[in-house]
Amino acid sequence: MQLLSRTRFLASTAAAGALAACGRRPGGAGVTVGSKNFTEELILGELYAQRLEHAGLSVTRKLDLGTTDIAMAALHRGEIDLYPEYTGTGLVNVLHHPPDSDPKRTYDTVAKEYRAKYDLVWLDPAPMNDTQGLATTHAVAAKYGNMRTLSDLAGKASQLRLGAVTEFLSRADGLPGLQKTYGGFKFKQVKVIDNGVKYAALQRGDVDVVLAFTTEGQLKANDLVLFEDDKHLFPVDQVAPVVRKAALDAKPAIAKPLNELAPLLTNDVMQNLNLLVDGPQKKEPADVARDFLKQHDLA
Amino acid sequence: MELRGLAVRYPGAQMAAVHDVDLAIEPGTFAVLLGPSGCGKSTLLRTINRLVEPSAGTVLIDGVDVRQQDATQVRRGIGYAIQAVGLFPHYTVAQNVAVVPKLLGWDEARSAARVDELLALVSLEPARYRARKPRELSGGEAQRVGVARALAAEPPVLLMDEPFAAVDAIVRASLQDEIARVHRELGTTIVFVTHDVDEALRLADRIVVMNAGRVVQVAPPATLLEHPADDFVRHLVGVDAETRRLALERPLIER
Repeated sequence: MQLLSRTRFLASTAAAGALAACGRRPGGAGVTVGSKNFTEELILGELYAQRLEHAGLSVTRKLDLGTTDIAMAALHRGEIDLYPEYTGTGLVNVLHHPPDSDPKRTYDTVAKEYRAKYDLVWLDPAPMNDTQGLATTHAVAAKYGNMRTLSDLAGKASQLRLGAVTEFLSRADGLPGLQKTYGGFKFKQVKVIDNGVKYAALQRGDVDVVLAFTTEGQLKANDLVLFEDDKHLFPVDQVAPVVRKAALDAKPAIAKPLNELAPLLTNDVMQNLNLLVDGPQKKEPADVARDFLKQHDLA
Repeated sequence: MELRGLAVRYPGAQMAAVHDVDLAIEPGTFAVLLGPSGCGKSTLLRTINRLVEPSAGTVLIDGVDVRQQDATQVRRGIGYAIQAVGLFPHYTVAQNVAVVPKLLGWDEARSAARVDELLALVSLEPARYRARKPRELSGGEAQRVGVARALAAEPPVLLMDEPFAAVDAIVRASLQDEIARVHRELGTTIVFVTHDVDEALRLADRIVVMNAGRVVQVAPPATLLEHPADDFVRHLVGVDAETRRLALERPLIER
């Protein structure tokens, strides 16, 4: 029954090619790794491929495929067995749900619905998350009672000055959202500053707290404190491998090496890896992935 | 736009960042503020959209003092594009471009149409780009989205602070062509800050040369090369002045 519904689904969405592909490779020797067509996906695709090779699997690469739609169609047709996807993208762009800001609920929803609708499995998500947040210096955090979370900051805000771009002050997921979700957040002063000077303004002491984007290199370069969004106001978008269940059943060895990799992929790590490819060094994603895995004894 | 007797002194600073600037910019002009790092050009630019409040003098837009208007309203009426583009990472390209229209209460259909129009204007095919997240963009593409965002609410004035400084030379040249074309097509008044002489010569109708917080010369590119006002300007345009003058005579392909 399950097989029948899957066959019907594939036939209806991806037509004849899907069936042919299904018949061609029921648990063949290799694994085909895909990726979308931007730097971070290319690096993740290489990391996945090299981890699987290290585990003794024979890997074919079909990286740089294109958009989410194209990667999903390639999965349906069995042209690839897995690719890196973001939980927020799966939730909003594929499943057409509204954005969610609870990481666990987002992951659970995409995992459950991808399994039921598409026979696809989400492996473990990485901690990296591309979203907005508030940041301060260690000195300010320490001075006001070792603030660590946005809940800690909510009550101290009346003694502090916020620097942010003007849009943040009026959007529902900006300052009004903070006030609604956390209470408090009545800053002593709000200064409109542009994105180019915010970290300089923070270091100079012109403001005490700034709007930050979680993957910005300056957060690390300036050794700042990023407040934990403990009540989950800001949306989440974590990355994880999405695998065809048929491929995983045929080759269960796919899961372990990728799940071992996931916890290492933090915001800091991905920033550094992206920079090695996009920055002045212009390294190849395959080389960047290899060096990283060697450093962590994973290659 | 007119700046009258403008001065900016930062608290605790010995020297004023900007002093005694008088400058008139005609509507539809592409004005470039040119000068070395620390000469006050970015500070001057920021007084126009009230990110910096002057310690003396006034900024008039259409004859109205910007300080007599609500700062938020002033900023929404002026486009602003900078090197640190600062796209919201959790919004799509379309949502980033539509930030100000949404705050201004435009309905969904008008916003969506405007987003597509602007993406096409900056040579990003809407169907390919509108649903992308910022991390799915190259540096040059992110700059284009930044320009589209700055133009979203149809501002009569666009301020740009070294917007193309972080991209490589080839991408920069293509972005310069793009902004020159946008200026031609929309007739927006643009005030553009750069320390790059060639970029200034390439883009400007009027170049405003600044040094140590003062304006030292205001002239069209050809005049600046042929008749530099003083040694500072002569050194700035440098030994290549003759080559640069000849390059100006050869019209840009896009112009």
